[in-house]
Amino acid sequence: MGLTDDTAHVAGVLVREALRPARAAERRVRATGEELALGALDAVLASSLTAGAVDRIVRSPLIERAVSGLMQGPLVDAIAAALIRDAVLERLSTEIVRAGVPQRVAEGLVAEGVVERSVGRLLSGPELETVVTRALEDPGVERLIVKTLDSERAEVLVGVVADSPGMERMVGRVIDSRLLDTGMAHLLASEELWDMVDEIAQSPAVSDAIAHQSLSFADEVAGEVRTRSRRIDDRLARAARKAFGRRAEPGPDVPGGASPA
Amino acid sequence: MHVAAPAAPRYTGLVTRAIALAIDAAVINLVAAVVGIIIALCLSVLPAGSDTEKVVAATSAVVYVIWTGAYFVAFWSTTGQTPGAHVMRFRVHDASSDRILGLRRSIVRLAGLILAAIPLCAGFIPVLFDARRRGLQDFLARTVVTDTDAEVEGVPRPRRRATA
Repeated sequence: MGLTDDTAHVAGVLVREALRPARAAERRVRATGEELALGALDAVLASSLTAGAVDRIVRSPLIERAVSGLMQGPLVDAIAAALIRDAVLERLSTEIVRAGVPQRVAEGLVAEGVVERSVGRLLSGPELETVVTRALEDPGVERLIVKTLDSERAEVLVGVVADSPGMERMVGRVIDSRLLDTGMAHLLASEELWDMVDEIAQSPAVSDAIAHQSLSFADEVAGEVRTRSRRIDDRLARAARKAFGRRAEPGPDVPGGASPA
Repeated sequence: MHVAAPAAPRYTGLVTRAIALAIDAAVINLVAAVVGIIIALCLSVLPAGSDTEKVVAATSAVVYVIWTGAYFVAFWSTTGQTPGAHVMRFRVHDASSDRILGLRRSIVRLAGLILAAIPLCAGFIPVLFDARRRGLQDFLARTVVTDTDAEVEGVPRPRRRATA
């Protein structure tokens, strides 16, 4: 048994050694063949004949029909289904975002002035006005604004903005600015303002309010005078009676007095 | 059933009445001044001699006295309150009832007012001592002066007049 194994091993070694030159020759022949094939392909691609042939093929209606048939055929549907099934787009977008492509594209757009030109075009064109007009006419926008204003968050936000030092500084700058003075001067110089003031001043409501206020004030003064004069009356009467040794008159200031005089 | 006793009247004192008199004097003199200015302006463009001016001055004095007396008598005998008394919230009425004075008693009270003022206003001093705060004019006309502050709103004022 041991003798048989050793014999087979020796035979295998002898066969491999005998085939080694043949294998080397085969590899050399294969490499040479590949080089030749690639060289031939380069020569074909570089030739003007190939370029002309490709141009003719591309311009031929055959290609157009082939592409059209391809697009209308089930292949496109199958590709789309595969893209959706395997979430190819999601994976692709995730990879794109992870690689920072959007940032680079945005920076490039900004650097090239594309954004600036686009914004300028948007502001100067009629599209923005149309969009704003439609948005203002849309009842949904009104509901959105009302809902936003009614929200507690909006109230908190307004409170924070109103209490912020930045807002204080801004309001202070507006008040100190020449713009306000100029605006006030224009406003005071306008005839419409004084017409409005005249209209308000002559309105019956304002006249009634002023008259009512004046009467209220006069009533208040008269009431105070009455109160004080009666207090002085009582003191005078008590002092006079005390000075002349007469019995004090019963009155509201005297405990148990039924009659004030 | 328990019936609440009517609230005792509060008699008006000297200072309150003096303030009301001052208000009345202001009204009287303001009207007199306006009328006097109008008359003086009219006379300034009319040819008038010195005698005319004297007559006008004497007539004006008489009219002023009548106007002053009529002012008090008219208000006491109609509402019981002069404008000054209305501002100070008191009124004059019969001492034994709530009635407003008649014309004759109003005139008597005016005479008493003048008499009280003549001896350096000594006629008003009894207001300080009298239990019902009456002055000479009140004694003569049998009147009292009471506050109206305590009056219930909506209760009609007495309309019957006391006879003299």
